[in-house]
Amino acid sequence: MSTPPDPCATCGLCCRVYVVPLVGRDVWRISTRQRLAPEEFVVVYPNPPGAIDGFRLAPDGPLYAMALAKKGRYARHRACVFLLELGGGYSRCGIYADRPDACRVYPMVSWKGMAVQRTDAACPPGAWTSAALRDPSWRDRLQRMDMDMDIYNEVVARWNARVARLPAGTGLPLAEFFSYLLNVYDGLAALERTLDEETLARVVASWSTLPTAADLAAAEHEPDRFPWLRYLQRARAVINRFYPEVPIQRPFALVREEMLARHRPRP
Amino acid sequence: MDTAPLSRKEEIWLACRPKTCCAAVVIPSGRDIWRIARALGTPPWSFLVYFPTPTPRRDAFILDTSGRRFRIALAKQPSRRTATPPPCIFLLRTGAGSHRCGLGANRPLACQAFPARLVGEVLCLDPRGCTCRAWSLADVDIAHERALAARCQAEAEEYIAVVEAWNRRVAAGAAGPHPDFIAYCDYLLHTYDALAAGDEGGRA
Repeated sequence: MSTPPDPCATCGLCCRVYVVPLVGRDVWRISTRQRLAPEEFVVVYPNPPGAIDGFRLAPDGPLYAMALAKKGRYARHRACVFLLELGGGYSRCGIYADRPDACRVYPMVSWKGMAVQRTDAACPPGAWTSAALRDPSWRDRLQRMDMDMDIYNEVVARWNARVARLPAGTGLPLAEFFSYLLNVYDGLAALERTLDEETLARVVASWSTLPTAADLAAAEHEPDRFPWLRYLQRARAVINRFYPEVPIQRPFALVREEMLARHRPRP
Repeated sequence: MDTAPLSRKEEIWLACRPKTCCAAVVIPSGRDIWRIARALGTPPWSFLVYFPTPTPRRDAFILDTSGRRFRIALAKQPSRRTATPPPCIFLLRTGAGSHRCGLGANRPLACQAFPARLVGEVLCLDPRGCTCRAWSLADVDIAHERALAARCQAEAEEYIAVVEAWNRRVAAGAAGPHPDFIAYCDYLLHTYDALAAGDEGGRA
């Protein structure tokens, strides 16, 4: 066969054994490009008690996370809803150009600023050549995933601030959360379109944790020193346009740091 | 993070939930096969079936000199349903029952053109196999559809020439002692690679 060898061509194990987590931008991208309602391809599940990430549907309700649906009734080890199963054991992603961030970075993770292969990757031993693993695009994709996750946390924090103001014992339907997601990410997409390719690349490459006081002070005088910070501020402005009756919440990463510190065991 | 604007026809097609047309038999051209195989990085035989054709056709290939001729079609998914034809191997079904083509813009030209076709110089709509709506020429961009239908015809003619060259090779014993379907698929990929290189060279 003249097709070049490809470790993923006859494998597709990762499309069968994992629960694929989704962030808001994944849902928006798949929904708008495939013209599918989120309910068609997203499953939501409650995070374990004690979790601090996720969205609520009721003020006293659990925190939920989103994942890609599976074929047929949901089961962890079923094939992804978008997996094309071809003859001869070949399989391919049916939405490859629009696949979620988690699939784009697999099997890599970020470790001390580097892209390294997951030690628990489902790929058969030797599937990836060292040249493929050294590809610099992994780092870009991991950076983009971090950025999307941070912005999603801000999006969810805004929603949760709204839910927290509901009377106890009431709640909102999941469909309303999805509507909010599609609306807010439409606004974020419009923001992204205002950036040229080079500027966006600098935002992604410099993406970091939320600013320290020193960062904020420096950013006032040197806005170009922290392109990601400037972008995050603009993204927060887009997000905070929703639910104007709800007071502006603090940056989610700061809140999370405090919560984690409270839960950290004391020496 | 742009979403490209879609034509009205594409919007209608995407919005259709059952996609009954995706249960029809789809005969791709050689260029369709090459395009899909190269885009997915999978061999053609992983998504094609071949079947004997009793009537002489110019797009039918041979594997020996017995006189038997074959055609190709997109494979179908295994299905337990017997009342309805099985769906295309590339059709995805969501949990809520919507369907999407996993090939997207790489789907065969015949699928892209459906339900339009050229009869002589007249663009007609032949929506047999469609259950979601009554199509009208008002739903389509006529100039775009005419160009698409003309491209379909041109690629069908190109494929006939490719098949005829293969059949001559087999008849002359130049395609190996026992050419099989995999060898034919390999031949298609090599031939269209060369044609594409020629296209590129012509443009340069």
